[in-house]
Parts: sequence; structure tokens; C-alpha cells
Amino acid sequence: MTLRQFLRILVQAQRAIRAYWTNSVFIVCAISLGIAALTVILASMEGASRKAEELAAKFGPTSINIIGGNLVEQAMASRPMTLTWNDVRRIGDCMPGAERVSPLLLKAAVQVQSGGRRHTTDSLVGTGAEHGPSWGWYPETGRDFTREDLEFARSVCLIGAATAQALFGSADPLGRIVVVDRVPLVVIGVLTRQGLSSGDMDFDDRVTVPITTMIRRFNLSRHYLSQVRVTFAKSSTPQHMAEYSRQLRGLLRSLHGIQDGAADDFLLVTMQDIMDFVDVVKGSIVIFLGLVAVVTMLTGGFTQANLFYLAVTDRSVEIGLKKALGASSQAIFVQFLLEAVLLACLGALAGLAIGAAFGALLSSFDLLSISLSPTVFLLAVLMACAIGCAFGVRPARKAAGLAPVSALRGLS
Amino acid sequence: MTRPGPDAQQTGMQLTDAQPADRQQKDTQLTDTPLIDMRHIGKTFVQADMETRVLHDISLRVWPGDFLALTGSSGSGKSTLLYIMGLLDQASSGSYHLQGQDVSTLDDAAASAFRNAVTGFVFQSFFLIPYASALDNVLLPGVYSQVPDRELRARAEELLVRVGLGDRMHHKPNQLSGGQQQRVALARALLQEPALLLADEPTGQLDTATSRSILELFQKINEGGTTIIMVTHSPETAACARKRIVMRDGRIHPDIPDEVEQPEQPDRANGTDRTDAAEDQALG
Ligand SMILES: Nc1ncnc2c1ncn2[C@@H]1O[C@H](COP(=O)(O)OP(=O)(O)OP(=O)(O)O)[C@@H](O)[C@H]1O
Ligand SMILES: [Mg+2]
Repeated sequence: MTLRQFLRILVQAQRAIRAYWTNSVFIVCAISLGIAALTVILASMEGASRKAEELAAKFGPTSINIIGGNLVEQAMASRPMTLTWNDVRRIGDCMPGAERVSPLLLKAAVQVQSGGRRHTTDSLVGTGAEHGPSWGWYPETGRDFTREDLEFARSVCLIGAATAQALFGSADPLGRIVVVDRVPLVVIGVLTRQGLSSGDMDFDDRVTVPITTMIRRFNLSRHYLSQVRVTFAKSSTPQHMAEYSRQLRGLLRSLHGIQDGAADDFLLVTMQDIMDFVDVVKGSIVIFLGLVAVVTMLTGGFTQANLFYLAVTDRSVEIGLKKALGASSQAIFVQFLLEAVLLACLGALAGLAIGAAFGALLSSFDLLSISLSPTVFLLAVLMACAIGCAFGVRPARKAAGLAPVSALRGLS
Repeated sequence: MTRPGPDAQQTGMQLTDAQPADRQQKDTQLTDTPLIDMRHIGKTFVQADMETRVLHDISLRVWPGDFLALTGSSGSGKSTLLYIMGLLDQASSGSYHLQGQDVSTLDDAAASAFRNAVTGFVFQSFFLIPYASALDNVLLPGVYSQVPDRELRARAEELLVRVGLGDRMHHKPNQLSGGQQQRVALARALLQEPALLLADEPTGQLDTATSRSILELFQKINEGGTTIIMVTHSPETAACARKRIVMRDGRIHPDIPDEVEQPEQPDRANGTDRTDAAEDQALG
């Protein structure tokens, strides 16, 4: 078959698609659902990777968070408060690479009020060092804690962007007083918005005070800490970090007197752990949506195959006529296969649109973050072509195989 | 109506030689090869263990430039024979040479090339593509040819003008009358300038006046040199051809009915054929 004939047959295929538009619409719909699922899956994978990178960047590649208690095996040893001030001192002494060791105390769901407004903030956080450098999280307006604030347990606080919004609306919170557990605190800064949450906890809904203030004013244990963050030199490589993590674990186990073979009573979190975790989450999203995509795509393909198969019988006169006028079986085969592939490609475009819209909806509910890229586009179209070919072959072969005479007599 | 010519005689020999009687006068233009040369053609349909013998030992020659009417009662195998001539179907036995070439055992690609270039088909029920304009319908055989677009379009427009539809080129079939639709189908059959035009009851669905104008077109086309074989039930239609072949039970009837020349006169030689034809007209 020459290119000229191929192009002419392409025109024929495109005309038939338009002429049998009800059939075409059905097929496009069936295919588009599968492609939509595929689009969501690919886009959310890309979105998840991007989110993971963001998260990791915020966490910082050269820091390790130590969380008190063993979250993984909490059931057996539920003593969440296992980190002590002694641990903080010893880490500072024994880990030469550690540039900064910041203790942290956490209290969940605390009542805050200012003026007439009340708000239950997700967390009250006491920090043992300047907020910006130790957490990589700086105030957007106002100032950070000073050494004096920390040393003299001053009644000052930094608030999260969501907390500021809840208590002050659009007004400027700087210099205003907030009352937490009957303790008045002066707002000295508002933290930049993170846009992160973990479980029910919104990172941007928090009141942060010097850890000394927290211990003295809020009647919390003087001995135990919720978390300790250890920050190493900026130049540390992932290999260094793995080694630091190993050393830190050994140190803490010996400080806590944990026997060989017994479980840790703390949890170390590095950037790598976060990325690994996101990968696991991503993996389960992929499996779930992937199954959905495969099922819908197969359904779409079978729908197309069946509608097409029936159409071949309906269109037997057209087939017989074309053969009588000189169309070879190959020409008929090519026409029907082209129709199938064109419809599948239309389905792909429709599916991409549906997928993008659905993805936008999901990300507006914060369920998934979606990122549409040319790769997604290309994959969806290739996938659709594959479906079109795979499921169009049988009907096309049937059409091509019709004997011209019986086709003209309307038999099959 | 100009036909039949006074010398449109036929001899009832075993090998039906449908050579035009005025061949001698045209000898300079004609070759010695017949356009169609069929020998001992048989056709048997096999359907679920049941064999139906439809054609028996048909031998037939058609010379270039002829205009043949193929008549006979319903079920006598006229369409089957026409389809075999047009390579839409294959004979079960016998040999078939078209334009001197053995076409009894062509593969699909070669047969379709023949159908595209050598034969043109016109059917009783027009078979136009309903969603395509008259012009696009006429252009359809061109899809499967190597003729450049521009030339195809010029030919199609010219053909539509020739069949009297110069002002209907962009009409859809459902905007055309039956006669106009058959004209479009005729123009379509001629697009590839075929040597052989095959028509299966082309006027079967048309009234007398419309039929007549279509038949005049056929005669003009034949005068242009195109060989025509036309299946028909109607003696008047058959009378337009130069020659008439009567089929009966899958065989070519050896007798030559006189009504070929004078359709309005009662049949003398062959009462059966006439009865069949009358019956068919009553049915159809
Ligand atoms: N595919 C087929 N299978 C079995 N029998 C067939 C098939 N096609 C045609 N026949 C039989 O062949 C015989 C001749 O059919 P054909 O269509 O050639 O007749 P015809 O002379 O054209 O009749 P009509 O004038 O009614 O069109 C009929 O008896 C028909 O039943
Ligand atoms: Mg017939």
C-alpha cells in the first residue's frame, strides 16, 4: 500500500467515525475512563515525588530527628517520654560532627485565646534553640527567639500561619498578647507557611515558645523531651549521614541501658527515611490506581472491540461495496484498524482532560498532589494506541475477511 | 430508444459467442482476444453440508464494445454469474480469462486491482455511502487507485456533469431521487474508466421514464467503447442491449427469443422464458 492510498483510507476512516458518531462517542467514553485513571495515576506519582522532594528539602538533608518512644512498637513499651536533657548533653559531647542539638517539647491540642477569639491549636511546641537555624524554619514576619529569650524563659511566642489566621484574621499579630493556659505570651513572629500536615496535625497551626518557658510555665516534666533534632555540617554526604545515624543509635541505646536484642525506645528519622516512606505510600497508590486503570482500560477495550464487531456486521454493505470498487482486504483492514486507533486516541485526549479535572479536584481536597507533564500525555496516547490496536485487530480482520458478495447481500 | 439494431442476432451454439454482429465493421479497433472468455464455469455453494449447484457448465465469450443483456427467471444464477465476471466471487470450476489474462485463481490483491481498474459495478439498490456527497461517492473507487487527486476530481466532476448531475455534486444521497442516485452510482462505476461495466438490474427500482433515461446513458457509454453486461428482468430493458442471453437453472438457454427485437410482440419460440419474465415482473 502506498502512502497516497494510506492517506486516502485515513480520510475514509475519519469520515466513518463522524458518520457513526453515536458508536464513536460510546467507544471514546469507554476508552477515556481508562486513560483518565492512568492519567491520575501517573500525575499523582509525579506529584508525590515532587511532594517528597519538597518535604525532604524542608526536613533538611543533614539533620536527624530523634523522637521519644518507639512509635513502631509502641504497643509493648508505651513510654513515650524517653529522651532526657542528659541525652542532649551527651550527644553534644560525644558526636563531634553534630553542629547543633535542639531539644523540643510538644503538647497537643492546646487552647489559645486572644481578645475575644478562642482557638484550639494543634500543638504547643517548646524549642531549646533558635527556631530558624535549628529547624530550617524561619519567621515570615517579626523576629526569631534570641539566646536571652531562651535563657530567661521569656513569655514570648512564634505562631504558625494558620494560628495567626484563626486568631487575628488579616490583622497584624505582632506585639499582640495570646493567652495559653492562662499564661500570657507576646507574639514576636509569625512562621512561614509550610503547607504540610501529618495525620490530623497541621504544621501551620502551632504556638512555639522557648523550651524554658514551656517547662516553667506549663507545668511539664523538667526531665523528659519529646524530640531532639541533631544537625550536622552542611557538607555531610548521605554516606556520612548513615554513619552518624548508626553512631547516634548506639549512643542512645547505651545511654538508655538497652540490652542487646531489645527494641529501641526512640526513633531516628532522617531525610532518607522520609523519602523511603513516601516511596511506600507512592507504591500503594500506584498499585491501587494501577488496578483501577487496568480494569477500566480493559473494560474500555472490550467495549470498543464489541461495538466494533457489531459495527462490522452493520456496515457489511459498505465493506462489500468498497471491495466491489477495488478495495483489497488489506485496505479494509487498514481502514477499520485506523478507525479503532483514531477513536482510542480521541479517548486518550478525553481521558487526559477528565483525568486532569479529577486530579485537580483531588488536589483541591488535599488528597493527592497532581502534576501533569508531557510524559504523562505521551504515555496516555501511546497506551490508547496500544488499546486501539489490540482491540481493533479482531473486528478489522473480520471486516477484511468478509466475502464481497455475501457482504453486499447483507449476510455475515 | 435506438436499440435493438437489425443485426443483433444470436446463434445458439454450445459456446455462446457474444460477439457483436457488427464486429466486422469495427474490426480495425478490436483485437482478436475476447474481453471475457469463460469456459465450463460452474458454481456450487456449500452451506452447512448442503451443496447448491447454481451454475452449470457456462461457456461464454464477450468481445470488447459489446452490450449484453442477461435475462432469465429469478434464481437462475444471473447475479452469481455477474459477480464471477466482476471477480467479486470465484467460480468453483472452469476457467475464466479477462482481457486475455487467467483470472480464475487470482489472490485478493490482484483481484481487487482488477476490480478497481478493469470493471465497474452498478447495483439495483445503488449502494451509495449515505453520509458522503455525490462527488465523494463518485470518488470512492479512486481511494484504491494511484491516480492523483486532482485528476480524480476532474474526472468525477466531468462524469457527474455527463450523467446530468452537475448541479447536485454536493448533495447527499438522501437529497437525491432514485434515478439521480443511480446516476451517481453509474458515474462512480465509470471513474476508473473501466473496460467492462457490470450492472445488476440497474433499473429494477426505477419507474419507466427514469429507467429509460438511465438506459440511454448506458447506451451512450457503450457507444463510447465500454463493454456492458446488464442483468435485467424486463424485456424492454433487455431490448436496449445489442445482444441478449437468457439463463435458466444455471445454464445459458440455447434458444434466442424473438422478443429481443420486438418486445411488444407475443413470444413464438420460447413460451417458458416469457412466462418467467412476466412472473418476475409481477413479483418485483
Ligand atoms: N451464498 C449462497 N449460498 C447458497 N445459495 C446461494 C448463495 N447465493 C446465491 N445462492 C442461490 O443461487 C441461486 C442463484 O442466485 P442468483 O442471485 O444468482 O439469482 P438471480 O438470477 O440473480 O435471481 P434474481 O433475478 O432474483 O436476482 C439461487 O437459487 C440462490 O438461492
Ligand atoms: Mg440477482
